[in-house]
Amino acid sequence: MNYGQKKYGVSMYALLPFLMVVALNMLSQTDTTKKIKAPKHYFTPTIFSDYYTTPQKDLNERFRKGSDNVAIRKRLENYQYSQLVGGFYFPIMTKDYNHADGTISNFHLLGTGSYMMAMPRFGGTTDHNLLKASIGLRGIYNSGKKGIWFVDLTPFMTTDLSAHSNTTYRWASTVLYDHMVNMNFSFRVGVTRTYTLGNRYFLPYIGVRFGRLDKMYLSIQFPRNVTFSFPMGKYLRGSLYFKPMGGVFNMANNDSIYPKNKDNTILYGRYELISGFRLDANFNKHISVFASAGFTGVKYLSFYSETENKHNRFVLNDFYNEKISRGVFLNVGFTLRIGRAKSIYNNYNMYETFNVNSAIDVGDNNTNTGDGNIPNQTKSKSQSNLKIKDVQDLIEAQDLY
Amino acid sequence: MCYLFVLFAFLKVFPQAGNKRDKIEALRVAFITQKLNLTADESQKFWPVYNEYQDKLKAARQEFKKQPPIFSTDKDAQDYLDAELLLKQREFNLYKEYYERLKKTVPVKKVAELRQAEEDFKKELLKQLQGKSND
Repeated sequence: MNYGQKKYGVSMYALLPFLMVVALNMLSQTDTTKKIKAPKHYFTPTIFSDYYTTPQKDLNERFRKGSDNVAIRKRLENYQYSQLVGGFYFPIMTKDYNHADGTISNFHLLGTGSYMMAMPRFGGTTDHNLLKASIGLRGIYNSGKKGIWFVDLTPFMTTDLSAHSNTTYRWASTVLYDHMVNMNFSFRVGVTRTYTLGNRYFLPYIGVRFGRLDKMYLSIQFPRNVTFSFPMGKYLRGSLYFKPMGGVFNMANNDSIYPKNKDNTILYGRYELISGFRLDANFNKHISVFASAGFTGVKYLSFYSETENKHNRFVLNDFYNEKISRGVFLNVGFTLRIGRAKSIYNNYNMYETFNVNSAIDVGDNNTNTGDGNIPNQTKSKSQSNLKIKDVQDLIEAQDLY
Repeated sequence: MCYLFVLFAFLKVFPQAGNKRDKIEALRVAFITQKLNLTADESQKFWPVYNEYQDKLKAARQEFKKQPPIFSTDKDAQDYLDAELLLKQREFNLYKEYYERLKKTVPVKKVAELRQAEEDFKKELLKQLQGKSND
């Protein structure tokens, strides 16, 4: 019995150097590939800015539907609106999961932030510069097959920078599921808490897309936008779209627009349903710019009392609202993507993931950073100005024989 | 107006053309897509794995490029040879790992065709370079 144990022990010792060599060999093999510093994230840190403006409108030019509060209308005289938005998002964590069938699913956690200066100008009041700033988080899970889950939380604050007013903290959010039936068709269902319609709404999110994201497509995303988008060569993309632009902001009541009580702050709500043409130029993976112009079909302006809505958790009740006549608008902006990202060539699940991320904008302002990281699908042409240094690492010495 | 001015100034400062290497990358992907003729299901699984493989290969090659091919001392020469050996080893290990993973996403025949397509693309590039030097 003892002899047997001893014999077994000896054979183990004899095997030890061999096992060590095998283990070291395995370690060295994994080490050589694991230490490669390939990009970690699909989303790179992104900075964007957006400027939007509408021309001045006379509020007393003709009778309009809405509030019969003529005194306030006369007091305001005319109305012009412009806004400047700056924002960013950056990847906090990206995790890839390799499945037994070869599928790669991934989870993305993004940090978001935005700064918006709303600049309503009324002929009969002092100028107001209204700030809305947000810091938020969004998580996206791409199953690598058909489904994408998206959750966005955007707490934000709003205050009037031009006069003393209260600061109010609010939040907007969206939870949705995207099902990509195939490259040409996807649908989205979810819920959204948004202020882009000039009031506080809990709304269902319903969206469908027909056509490929890297080619021509029609996307209907309620309550965000309706877009018909088409590539114009390799670097340009044109879009015809229809969407609401709006928000609710704290405004100092220094002009006594609300005379009922001694509130120092009122809430200013606005939205326009705009339709226009947008041209996106995606010069490379890092820089995109756009210019857009069109018409404001429906344009609303509202004021809400802060104290009368204090215990109201749902839709805000206004004390004044005005439907403003149609006009035009101008919208320009840029997007900067910093650093290297993981490749997504022909990865339609990631194309869809990027599209979900851009459709639900950072800060709940319904601006759109565009899909500059989705390459337009165009016919491949040969590279005319090829140089050895561009391809030297793709070609081995033996390829020349 | 001020915003527009800043936007156009910004465009002037930044390069307007895409990186040439990215263009070649896009051409290679288009070439392979055409040659492999993947079904929608195959494509959905294949491209994420293949992109990951290419990212790691590219990163390994870029790391090797940091080693200057200057051999003023024996140590420099040895470092260069070690770096080259490490690159070859990494390329082989990646090749082994990812071709196993690619076999899970598409039939093995298509993995072999992929290898052939990559070779054909290199030949295309060489042909273009040759044509340019003849000009």
